[in-house]
Amino acid sequence: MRKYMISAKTKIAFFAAAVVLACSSSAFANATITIVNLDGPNEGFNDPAPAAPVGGNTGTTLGQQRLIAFQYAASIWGATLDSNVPIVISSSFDPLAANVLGSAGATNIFAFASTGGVGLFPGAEFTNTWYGSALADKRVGIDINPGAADIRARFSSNFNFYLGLDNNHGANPDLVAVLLHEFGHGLNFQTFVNTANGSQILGLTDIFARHLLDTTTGLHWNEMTDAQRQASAINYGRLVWDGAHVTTDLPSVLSLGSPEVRVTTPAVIAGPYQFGTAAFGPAIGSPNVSGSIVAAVDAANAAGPSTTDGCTAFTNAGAVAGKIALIERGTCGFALKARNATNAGAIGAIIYNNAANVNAAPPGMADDGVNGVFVTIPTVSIRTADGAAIIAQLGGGVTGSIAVDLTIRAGADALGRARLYAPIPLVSGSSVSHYDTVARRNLLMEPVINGDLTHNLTAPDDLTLELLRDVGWFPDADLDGVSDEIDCEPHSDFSPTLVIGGCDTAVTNTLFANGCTVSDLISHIAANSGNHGNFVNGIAHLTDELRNAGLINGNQKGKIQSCTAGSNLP
Amino acid sequence: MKAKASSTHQTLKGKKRSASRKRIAFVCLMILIAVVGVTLAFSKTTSQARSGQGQQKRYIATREVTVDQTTGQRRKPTDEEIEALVAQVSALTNRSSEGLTVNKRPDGTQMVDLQDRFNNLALARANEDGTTSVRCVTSMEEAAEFLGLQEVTTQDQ
Repeated sequence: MRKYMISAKTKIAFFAAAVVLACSSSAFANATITIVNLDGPNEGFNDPAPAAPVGGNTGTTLGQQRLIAFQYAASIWGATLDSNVPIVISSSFDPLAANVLGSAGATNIFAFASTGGVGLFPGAEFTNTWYGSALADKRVGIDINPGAADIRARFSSNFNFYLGLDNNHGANPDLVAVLLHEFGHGLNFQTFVNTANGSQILGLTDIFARHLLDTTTGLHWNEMTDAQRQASAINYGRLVWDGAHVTTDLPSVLSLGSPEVRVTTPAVIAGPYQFGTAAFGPAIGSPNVSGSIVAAVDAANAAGPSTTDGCTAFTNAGAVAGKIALIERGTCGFALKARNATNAGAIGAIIYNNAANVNAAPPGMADDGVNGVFVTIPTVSIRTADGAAIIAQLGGGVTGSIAVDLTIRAGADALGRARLYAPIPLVSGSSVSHYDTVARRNLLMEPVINGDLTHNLTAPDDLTLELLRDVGWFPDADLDGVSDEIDCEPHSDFSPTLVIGGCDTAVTNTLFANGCTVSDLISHIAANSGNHGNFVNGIAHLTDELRNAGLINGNQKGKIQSCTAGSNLP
Repeated sequence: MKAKASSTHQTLKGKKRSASRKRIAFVCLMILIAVVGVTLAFSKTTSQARSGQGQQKRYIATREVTVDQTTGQRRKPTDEEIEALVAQVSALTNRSSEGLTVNKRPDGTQMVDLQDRFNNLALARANEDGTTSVRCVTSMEEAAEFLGLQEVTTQDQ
């Protein structure tokens, strides 16, 4: 079969497009993912220790079960993605450091000087943009670096994973879920930006970074300076994914009702704030509270040396009543501060980190076993810098809320775009290659690999595949290089010659740039012809077009028409 | 005889001095070897745990997050375990492109071998209630936060 670039033969292309309008398609994904066992005899995948089959894993040794679990995770990814280039994962089980379960990542990255791949494969969507090895191969349509693995995976032989395939893992970490997550990173669910300083490898952006949008600056990461990227990596709640596939499917995955701590006014500090929750008092949203934020003032005394620590009864209770109290962390417990705010008549309490915790994330606040029971208002913690920003604006008045916003999906921003994980960590170096932990339902590619995850990678269970679609893993069931979203026939007939009703015409089948072959066109005509006469007429029209386009000669046209007439189609 | 004795004495003294010098030299050599060995070992460890800011990072455990393989009980990770953890996490999550080389092909395609950097690591933390939390991290700082490791920072000498 020959490939024919339709751009020079637009007439045929238009004809093909007209025929396909009546056709339906169903995606059937496939990619071959090969696990290459790097372990030596009697170790890792070759560990001979006897093991009882568990959860559908039929291996009878520890090594066999590990390999089966790896292959199972690979098969899930293989059934989800399409690539005509096999994906190779070099894998091993090694005695890794304590608490390390495993790791994975792309082995090589590629940046292309021009777009366009082999045959109909589209090549890179963007030039001078890094792509992970597996995705680069998929886009170009060939193995760019033959002999080299696409992903390297190392897992711990010291750790007691659940090796079943049925997700019935109980208290043990589910190896399959962890593998699905880490393989996902290797398949390009990650940026290659150094988030600690915002630098890019050799100054080039990557395909993941192109979809990272900072809603504060309105810039994508590929449009930023290093300093801007560094700041954006910790811009909590304001770093979103603006890829179309994720945004489209997000409503079917994430539930409405996002717990938020927000400053409403003034505009200069308005927006969602990173927060920690309390183990005492009502949960956020029970009830929602909003109003003015007022700094609490108490006596500087032995219970608390500062007038801002809220460790004793507030001296400005009149100003705090009916408002949200702002209190400094330190000296006494969180629950006591919140109890004092409750006693002052506050409707909510925000406790900001003090200088001693200037680089710390907002803490989860434990009850002291004494005061928590008296707290009747929602209480949250925020960072030092956020507290300072609010305090700096208090002179002009600050309003805010502690609420579950029922108009926003948990894990999305107000415009329905998925939030990436960009918290202020203890020190620099947070990851943006994950969805935000506030997402509900839980997503596979959150940094926390939760026990309630399914092994499904796409909506309505998950949004992993959707993000990979956005970076370029287009659906291509017949692996012709044309995305199913625009493919004239996602399941093309690639027979070398045209066969009509069992009659082989010996005429070479041809693939057009729109993803259809001549065999596909014949099938489409047959499917849309109510009777044999219409089918014969349709084929006559097709052969005229093919001959006018120079794809067949008169003799071949005759063979096609002869087989058509002799068939009993449709 | 006296002279001989004296000579013998001097010879004995000389032998003693010589032996003493050899012992001192041997001790010095051993000290030197030890110092070099320790320096090299220290250098290796610190280079593995070196941050992009040129600081050596060391951590101490503050929480019981590790399950002892012998007893099955939760405990804090030992200093040796932390050292191995820091070395491994730092190396695999290294996001620096320093030292990476680009292979440029005739068609203009650029390829970079990431040399095992830019990995993502899954960590486990044993919880008090018998469950295990799993988290994927991309930096040592995230790992430290998750595992309750407190950083002790010293400037490079």
